[in-house]
Amino acid sequence: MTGALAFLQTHAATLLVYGPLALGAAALMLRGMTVLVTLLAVVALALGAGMLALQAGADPLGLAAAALMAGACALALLAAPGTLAREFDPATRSEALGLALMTLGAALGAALAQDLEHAVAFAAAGMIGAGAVSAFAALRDRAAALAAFHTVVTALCGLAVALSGAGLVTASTGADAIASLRGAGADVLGPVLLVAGLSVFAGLAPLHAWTAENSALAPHGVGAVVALAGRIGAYVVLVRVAGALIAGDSAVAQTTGAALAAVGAVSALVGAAQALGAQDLRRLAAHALTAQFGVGLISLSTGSEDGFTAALFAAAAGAVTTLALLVGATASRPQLGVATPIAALDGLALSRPLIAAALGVTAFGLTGAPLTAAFLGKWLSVEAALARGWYWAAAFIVATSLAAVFIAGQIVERLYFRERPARFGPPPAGALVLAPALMVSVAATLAFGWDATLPLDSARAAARSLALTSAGAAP
Amino acid sequence: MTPLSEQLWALGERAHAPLVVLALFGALAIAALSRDLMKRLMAAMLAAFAAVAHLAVIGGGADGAVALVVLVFAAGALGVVLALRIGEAFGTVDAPTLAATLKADADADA
Repeated sequence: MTGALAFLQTHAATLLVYGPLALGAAALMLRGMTVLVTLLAVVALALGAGMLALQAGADPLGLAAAALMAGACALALLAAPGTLAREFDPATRSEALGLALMTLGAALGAALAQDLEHAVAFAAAGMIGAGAVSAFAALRDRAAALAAFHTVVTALCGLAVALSGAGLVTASTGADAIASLRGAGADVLGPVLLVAGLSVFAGLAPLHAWTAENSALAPHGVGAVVALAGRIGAYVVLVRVAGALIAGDSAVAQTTGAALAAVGAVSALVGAAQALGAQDLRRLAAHALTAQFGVGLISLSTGSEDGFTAALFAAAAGAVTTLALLVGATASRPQLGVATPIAALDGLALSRPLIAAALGVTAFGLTGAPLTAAFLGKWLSVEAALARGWYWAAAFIVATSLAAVFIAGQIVERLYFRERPARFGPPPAGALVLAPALMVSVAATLAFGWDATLPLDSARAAARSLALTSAGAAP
Repeated sequence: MTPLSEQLWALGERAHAPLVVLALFGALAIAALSRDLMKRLMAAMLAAFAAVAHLAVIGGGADGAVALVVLVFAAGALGVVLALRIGEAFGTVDAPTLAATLKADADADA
């Protein structure tokens, strides 16, 4: 028994990446076995996440991120048998599940990859897979085919830019392993191209149009979760690579920092503005995550340990919030079509009071209000910016919070003070299957808002591993 | 390696940088500016292939390049299928016309 546990712990990363890939392939071949394959995937992800959480490796950031992603995906997959039956025809159900599992494997692979080539390839595969899963919605909404097409073409362009950057960085530093990059090298074009390419996969502005389009038209349930997982995997790669490159005072470090700050600032402002104007709930969630990632990148570009911690904490809180919004969209969606207009939230408190309450908490989480998990992330971000004397960055971060206050107010007003439009029909039945993911998201938002010791310690350990990389940088 | 292959490799190393820059940025420009979806897809694939070649040459080997080529081909095949589906559903693959049709759809829904 101990031997088996030790074996599982040693190979947890392999289980997390190749388990979903193999089960995805099995779903494609064994048609009609979707429930069994889903359950096996939940077990593999939960087991892998648990084992990874116990593992002390040289890359705490990759391990912690992958463990969190796998745990969240396992929870979300619990609802898959119910949502698969509602979202897909019997003829396409197995294919959709297979592609979704393979995409999850790619997203986890990106978070765990040790070298640039694998990280870029997995991140690109995650984005292409998200497009492929969205394509299934084209059977119900022709616009989904266009969204999926744009996702695939943007992924190819991102792959081209990121691979070119990876090639230049590898040639310049003589190292392909992410941990060995350490801000060395003299070529500044490589890091800029690498950051730009990875930003595309993470859905950061200005090349983020695909993510809102794809999120809004993806099939509910697995489709939406897969797109979110792909973005988070790519963001983790970006933080790991940029965290290594930003070390020291070299030209590469300064250029990478400037590129991160620019992408972060544009993402924070554009994401917040577009979330304010969004008329679709899942589009709103995608833009809000872009803004959160932007805040994270601004913090990361400060180069301090607080900045690294804030980057990780803000992104984790943003991912939890986005997952809750996506689940809420599935629970409130109109009877017809794929899209979820924000008006679908109108009057949800009457028909689904618990889900409405959960979405209300999530809305406050978006703002970074005290007693929610996002508060500490925003606080650390502002502190890191002020410590560096970057008043503009602090202003940007506060501006995104103010925008989120308007968004939260809009969500709460719709939930409690409006009536659901008759043309949407009643909210879909079977919301119970969504409860685990929603409950855990809300519990994490509140519990870590009350006492953030555990996630803060994990984030600091991960940040310290990046800071150690900084310490080892060439002068 | 034979002397000829060594010479070819050296030539490739010298020539690949300008070729890759041309292929990569030219293809990306075409992908961004083209009205035809199929042209966009082909240009994006060309850019990706150029980047894979660049990585293989600059990295001094083809480790992983085959997997990346397969990934690009898979994405391309998916893109072709989607472009055909878009053509069937909208009657065109012209980007501005598609944008106008989508806007009209959204206005009708509202």
